[in-house]
Amino acid sequence: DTIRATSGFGPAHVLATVVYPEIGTRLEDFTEGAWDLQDTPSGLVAPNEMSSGLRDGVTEMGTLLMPYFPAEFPDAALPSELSIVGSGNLVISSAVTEYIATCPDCLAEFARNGQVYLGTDATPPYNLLTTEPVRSVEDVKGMRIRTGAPLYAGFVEAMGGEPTQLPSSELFESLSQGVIAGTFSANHEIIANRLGDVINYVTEVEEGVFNGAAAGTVSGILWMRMSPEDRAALARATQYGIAKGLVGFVEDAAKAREVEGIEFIEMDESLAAAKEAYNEERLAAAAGILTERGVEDAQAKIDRYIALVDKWEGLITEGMTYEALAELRYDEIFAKIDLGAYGS
Amino acid sequence: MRFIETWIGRISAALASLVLLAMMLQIVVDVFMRSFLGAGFPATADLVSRYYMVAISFLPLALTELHRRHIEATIFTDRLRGRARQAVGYLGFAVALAVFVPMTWGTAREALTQTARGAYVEVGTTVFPTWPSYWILPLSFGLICVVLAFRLIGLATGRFELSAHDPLEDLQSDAGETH
Amino acid sequence: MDPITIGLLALVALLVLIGLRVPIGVSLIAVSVLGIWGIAGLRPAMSMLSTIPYSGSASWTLSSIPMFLLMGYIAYHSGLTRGLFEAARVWWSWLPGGLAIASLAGASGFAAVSGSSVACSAAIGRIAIPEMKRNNYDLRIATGSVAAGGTIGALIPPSILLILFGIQSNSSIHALFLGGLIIGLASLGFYILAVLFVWWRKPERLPRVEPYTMGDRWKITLEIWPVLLLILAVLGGLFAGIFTATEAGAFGAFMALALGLLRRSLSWSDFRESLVDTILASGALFIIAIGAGLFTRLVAMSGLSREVGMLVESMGLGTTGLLLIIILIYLALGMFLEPIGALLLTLPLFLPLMAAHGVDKIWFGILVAKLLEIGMITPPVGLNVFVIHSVARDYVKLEQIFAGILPFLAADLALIVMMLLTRGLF
Ligand code: NA
Ligand code: NA
Repeated sequence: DTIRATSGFGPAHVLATVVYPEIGTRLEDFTEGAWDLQDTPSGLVAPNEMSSGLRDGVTEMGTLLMPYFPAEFPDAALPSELSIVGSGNLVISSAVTEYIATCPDCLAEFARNGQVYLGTDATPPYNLLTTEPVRSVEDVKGMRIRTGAPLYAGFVEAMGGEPTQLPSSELFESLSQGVIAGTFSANHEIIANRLGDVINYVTEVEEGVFNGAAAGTVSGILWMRMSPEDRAALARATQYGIAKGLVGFVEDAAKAREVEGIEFIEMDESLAAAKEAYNEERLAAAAGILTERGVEDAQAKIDRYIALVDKWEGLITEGMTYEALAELRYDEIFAKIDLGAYGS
Repeated sequence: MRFIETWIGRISAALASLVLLAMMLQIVVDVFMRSFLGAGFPATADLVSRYYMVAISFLPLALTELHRRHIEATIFTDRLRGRARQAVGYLGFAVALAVFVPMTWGTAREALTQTARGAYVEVGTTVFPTWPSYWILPLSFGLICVVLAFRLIGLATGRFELSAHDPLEDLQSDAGETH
Repeated sequence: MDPITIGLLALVALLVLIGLRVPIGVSLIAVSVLGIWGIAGLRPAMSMLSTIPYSGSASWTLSSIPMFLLMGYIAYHSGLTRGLFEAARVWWSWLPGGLAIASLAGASGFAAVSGSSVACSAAIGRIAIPEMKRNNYDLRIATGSVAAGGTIGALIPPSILLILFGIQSNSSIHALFLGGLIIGLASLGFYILAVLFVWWRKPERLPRVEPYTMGDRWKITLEIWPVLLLILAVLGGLFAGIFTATEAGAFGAFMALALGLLRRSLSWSDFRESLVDTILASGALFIIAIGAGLFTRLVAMSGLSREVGMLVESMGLGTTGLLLIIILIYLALGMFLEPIGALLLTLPLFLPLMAAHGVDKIWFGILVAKLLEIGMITPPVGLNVFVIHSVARDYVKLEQIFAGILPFLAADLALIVMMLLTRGLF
């Protein structure tokens, strides 16, 4: 049987070049050829159509961007609200995956929307990528900066900058024409989105990661067709794909340092202080924001997530291979779940 | 029937005109505010894309049919007369109806779902509701279904005839001969 | 039935429906939904029918299209553009086909403002076609020159197509923009040659304009200050970074409105007519765009594009043979699909092949952009032709515009041959 998959972010994205091919290869391997996977990176389901596309079986596996569907997934989006917690994308991705896969309210949201959750990826930390140097908070004042998630908009606002939302299709042009002076993005985008052509400075504030892409989301219609053994194979293969992608992100971020004409600036004390103050305020407010969205017992859930981040900080070691990471994620998370009952 | 057509035309033209002007003014105001006051008009991109653009894309559908402005290739059917031409007319309107009736139904169901969950997007640090915008679709598709049904009745009763040339062409064209 | 067969049948059905005068948007939607139903079932088909109209139209970037349409209609109804072509006429009167050439040049200027070729055709079309009609130009060449001129809009930067290619292929967008500028200007040159060729064979189609004295020229040129102000404000604001290419449309419409009111040349009925014209053009266009979007989904789902890619690979051709096949494939796809969908569908197939044959990515990106833009003017689905038809349908038929495209299509093919011959030089 062939899974009709949609990594969803175009043929050049890490999801299409690394994550989904790896899921396909491993799945074939684990099921001895009974299942494979065919990815259509773009053209079939756009990111903003993914939730209904998976629900109705237009595609059978895809990348669900949580921030696009806040009304559908208030509980599963909790880790996105806390993306400032944790240090590296390997840790954060694993903690988010364990949190959602073991959170009954989150799983109920996926079931209600005809989907089954198998994992989330995470980007390297976010920095200020700008055309003019940012060496202190003073330099941010009045600067128009494109931000994705509300978290970053709040941070830019707190520093006296001017957050703007722009579709990613206009990012490159807006930077080159000076409509905006910078963007809040991760270093790997300098390589992946060719931002190296238009920005000159990277100020390494390392403020959070993007952890809202549930790269392994499966249509309930497909899940129903799979035996518990097949489901286990798919869950395990998905960890391989995501783990390989996480390492790929880190490698791209490292490559960005070799791009000519970009100065990497370490954040000074004023920026570090602004970041710390903002994060404290943000963490204190998180429970309130989540409760407003309809999340019950928000503080207890936040505490559980933070504990999981600590757990994975301890489990992940320096220089771990992606295969080892994948096996660790599978053993720690999905091997402990009854996959025959999961997702229904 | 004519009375209903007239009002469908008037209302959708008025609504779409308002949307066009609102879109223009809001984008301009946003640009000015951004340039001179430092901050743009709140939620401009979301209001433009999710409300104005959805409206401007579909509200005119019925009006466009009333003016016979939907784009068709007439090259192979121009020479047909009598029954054959009549059949081409029935086919066009029937296929259109067969497309727009399920679209009305499907988008109405989708609008109900989005309304039930109170769909919204996060804009900067605030919340912007999007669920009402989903209702623009069933409304627009419903209007064109009505017009298409009238067209079929018109064909059957002989009140509407499919012409090679647009009826408006004779009225509007200021210069008679073109070649 | 296997998905590939369904995909092929859908192509045939589409041609039949369009031939039987079923509206083109409706034909695309009907065929796509039936095809998806056949491949994946009724539920996915209904799902796409219910969600894609919203997700496809709720787009910030698309908003430039109705705004540029409105700008064009207001400028036209308030007589703002009359002077522009008077001026073009007095300055180009020595050249045969001067007005057609002036509108091509105008389209290129406009291209520097707009990222999409539809907006470009719409704005110039509303301005230029009535003027050419008034001067007894053959309507085929008049409409053809504007539809073809519009394709320059997505080659000369800014270009949504080239930005997407750069991101998908991981190549420099600056280099792509420079290449786009070169190929955009080369297209302009070749199109001018096409006009001159038509004049050489059929001079009666492009009547010469009476020559003018130098004094007349300056007098008439001075009268076009409002249009120059409009173009300067839009271009200036764009390049000064005051607004984006998307916002430029709204700003241009606002400027045109303000100028019409200040000059007291825009009456209430002109204003209402401008609005209704924009609404009717939008009503005719967006349903086709949605249909084309759905059809792209069907092609993706059927695996037709993947199959074609594998077939090409298995032929084991040399670089030139491979490029020729790819050119033919893009020309065929361009007949039916909108450029962005076709680009995203095909890049995963062809980029690895191109890399294996050592073809330069930037050169290939420019070639693909040019080929996809040709698709905007080829039948049966040629969005630029449709937009011209919607602004000029009072006096010209769709098939006449397609006939008017022919000399420009020949010029495009000549340009592509030139690109192939000079490939090593870049
Ligand atoms: Na352009
Ligand atoms: Na075409």
